Amino acid sequence: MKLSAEHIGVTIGQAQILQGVSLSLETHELVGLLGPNGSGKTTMLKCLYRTIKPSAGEIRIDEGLLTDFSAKETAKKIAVHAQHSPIAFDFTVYDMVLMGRSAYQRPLRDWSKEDHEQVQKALCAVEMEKEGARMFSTLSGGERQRVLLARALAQNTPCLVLDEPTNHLDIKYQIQLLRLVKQLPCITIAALHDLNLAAMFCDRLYLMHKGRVMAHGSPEQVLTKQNIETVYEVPVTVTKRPDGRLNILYEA
Amino acid sequence: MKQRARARAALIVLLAALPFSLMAAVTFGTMPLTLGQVYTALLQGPWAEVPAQEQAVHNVVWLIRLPRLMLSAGVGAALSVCGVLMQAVVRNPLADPYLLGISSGGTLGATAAILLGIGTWLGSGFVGLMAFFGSLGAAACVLLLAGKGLHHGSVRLLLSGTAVSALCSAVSNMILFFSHESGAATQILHWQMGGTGGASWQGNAALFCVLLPVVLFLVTQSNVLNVMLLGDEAAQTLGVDLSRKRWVYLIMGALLAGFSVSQAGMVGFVGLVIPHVVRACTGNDHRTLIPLSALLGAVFLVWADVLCRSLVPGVEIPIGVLTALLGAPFFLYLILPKRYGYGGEAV
Amino acid sequence: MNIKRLAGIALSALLLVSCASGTPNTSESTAASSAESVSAQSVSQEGYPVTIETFDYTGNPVQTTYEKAPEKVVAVYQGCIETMLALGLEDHVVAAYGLDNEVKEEWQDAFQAINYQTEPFAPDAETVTVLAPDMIFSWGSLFGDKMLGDVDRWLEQGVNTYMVRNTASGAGRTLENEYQDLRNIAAIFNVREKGETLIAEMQTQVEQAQAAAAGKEPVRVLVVEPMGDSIRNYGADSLAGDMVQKLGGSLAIEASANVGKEDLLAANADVIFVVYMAYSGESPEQVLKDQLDVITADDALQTLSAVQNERVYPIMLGDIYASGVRSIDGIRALSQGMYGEAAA
Repeated sequence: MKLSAEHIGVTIGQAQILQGVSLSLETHELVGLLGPNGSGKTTMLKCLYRTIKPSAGEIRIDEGLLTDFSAKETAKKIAVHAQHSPIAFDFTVYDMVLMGRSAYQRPLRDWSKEDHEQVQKALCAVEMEKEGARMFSTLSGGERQRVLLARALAQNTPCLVLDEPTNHLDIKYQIQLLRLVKQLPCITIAALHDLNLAAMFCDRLYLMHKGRVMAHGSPEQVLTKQNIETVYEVPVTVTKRPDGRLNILYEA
Repeated sequence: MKQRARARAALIVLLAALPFSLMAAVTFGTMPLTLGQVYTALLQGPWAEVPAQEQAVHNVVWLIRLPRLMLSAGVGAALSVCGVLMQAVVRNPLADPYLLGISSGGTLGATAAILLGIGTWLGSGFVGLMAFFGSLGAAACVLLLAGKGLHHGSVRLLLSGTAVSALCSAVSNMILFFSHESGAATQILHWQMGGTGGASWQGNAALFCVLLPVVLFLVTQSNVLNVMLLGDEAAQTLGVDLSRKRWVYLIMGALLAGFSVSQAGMVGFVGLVIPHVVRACTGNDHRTLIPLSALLGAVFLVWADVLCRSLVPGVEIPIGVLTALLGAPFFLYLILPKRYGYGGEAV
Repeated sequence: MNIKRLAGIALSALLLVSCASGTPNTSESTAASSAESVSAQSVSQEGYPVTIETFDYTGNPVQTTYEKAPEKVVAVYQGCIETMLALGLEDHVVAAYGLDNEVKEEWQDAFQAINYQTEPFAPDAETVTVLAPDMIFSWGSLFGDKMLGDVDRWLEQGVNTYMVRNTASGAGRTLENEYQDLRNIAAIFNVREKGETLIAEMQTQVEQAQAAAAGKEPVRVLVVEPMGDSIRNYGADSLAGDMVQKLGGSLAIEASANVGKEDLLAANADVIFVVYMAYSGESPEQVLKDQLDVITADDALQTLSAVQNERVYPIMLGDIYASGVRSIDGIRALSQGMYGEAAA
């Protein structure tokens, strides 16, 4: 399994949001997408999960063009965990996760045994298996994020796109979630804000700046003092701990 | 699963309640008929040759009471399902069947028919038919105006609906204003208040020919409707392409509401309250929401119709007035205390 | 003001007494002199001032005083125009509006003398002001806020108003009201004998019907108007209902309300009158047939005794609703339906 984007450009009105962005993701990687607000992270992810149509470039899954797939086929290949927009209507946790199986539902058929098994599996993976009957609106922010992740997991896809999955989570759940994602047997690309967490969990990083990829490679290659100071405009000290892990410290 | 068990129980109760309600409601009326007379007539069947002295009873049961009970049931089900559908399409719990300008379009059609005599060639039911064309015409205008902007959310649809409604009302008021007929305003008002007095088997057949297939189809679409509530973006990432489906649902909703309006005029609040009662009891899953709303709407309107006829002896209260009278306070009871989150558990 | 009012009440009371004493039996004796008094009316001021009770829009009684016969009357709607014509007062009309139907044959010649306007259907305040009338004769509805405005406004300007009693809020809906209207208008123009003749004609008709009814079980009657999907019943508080009762019949449903088909079956009246109204542009025959069909052609209503005995009759709205001088036609049609040709 391989997911690649070549020379992606997105123009909205006069604004050039993305310019010549190329990504390449290989089996079982956890890839971090870094960059400050407005650098184009979310737009790039939206191109990957097809809610934005790039005005230039192409995206391929293995050798197939993404645009050749139907919405249903895409949903069997790429699952998305995005920010949940508030809805006026409430569902149980179980029903919410069950919707992750929409792409597998055949017309005029009820949910299959397989569907229910996958839902159960996904709920177990995020440790929410006992909460199936609760209403989504009664969950805490962290629980909601986990349920939405379970919904993406239930899609059972080789590729997972996460848009700021650790938002609103306290540090315990941020680490728990990233650890969980890292174990998943699929390609995962996640837009992240926390540079230390990115360095800690990601196999590779892409650093975006003003709609372009400014640097990519291993955390060590990307998270240099110079790169961070250019992109985020804050002075930092980057040190390497004895166990080889990076530590990024913001200076006053 | 708590909700699922409750839904199953509700389904069984309502499936039993509907035929029971019909059989019980058929015994109510101004003619003092005994249970024996009513059920004898029922068992004789619609085409039975009955002795002359029994003909009146047979007619009352088969030509007056049953058609209007069936009409009430059909309209109740159609409006409730249409309400569910509209709420899903615009992702707004306040949406009702008349969202697409169907009420004012229907009024315009009826006004044109009653006051200008347009459509008299359509035969005796021409007012209903004109109302039907009016409501579908208005709905078509709203949909065309909302056009491709539909996927950007429901705002455009709601605004188009408001504009078309205002226009239709203005035109019907204009017709009304220029009319010299003394009873015109009253007649239009009565039409607007809704009534099942004009029920006929032919009209019912038309209504049910639309209602049953649409409800069955929508039950198969329940997951799509669920996903629709999450919004377009989420729906797409889950593999559900809503662009074309949304149109199909809107057209179906317009048909349901249009047929109801043509047969029974405007019956308010049913399409808003019934879906919310079901949501509050058994949640938003359309798999249970649609059939339960249809059944509850049918049962509710059957009894509302009985009340209309029996509250004041010899006088028929318009059914639309009664449903609003019963529905509005109940709706407030449902939403005012924070015990209801559009299908959520009590918090 | 108070004194004026008191005087008005006293005068109108006197007038009522004199009218009441001058009814049926004496009418023949005075009829001969009527022609004389009408022609004399313009020169002599005998019989004036006259104070007449009418109503304002909300239904409160209002006293109006006439120093002489009004010269410039604005008459609006069928009954008012025809009343003027029937009393031979066409010369007193400055403008007329609002005919639903053709004026009846017998008054056509007189009608030609009238300034009748087809547009607007009912005049607005400005139009009426420009006409500078000294009297407005119309239905209650014309004095609503959105039409001419209430009567006090006109009275202050020295324009007398007369509201048809059966269209005023507080007056009820009775045949007596129609008599009273004729009496009042006749008094205003000092043509009392003519008024009494018209009233006597109606009363004779009523008495004939009562004679036909005497000693028998009252005929059970329904007067209904199909309106689209609903059916309107004319109950005891409507003019039609009052007429039926005055004619010795009883109403099978007393309430004025919408009724269902089953209510019709439950009531099972001996005679059903179906109200119809042909407006301009509609064929009266077709409207009449369509309205009758609602009762006679409905499968569900075939067991009604009125349908089986073919005693479902049409009746024109204008003959039983604020009918004015057409009340005689309403009374005739009802008696004929209830008691057959003999009574009519």
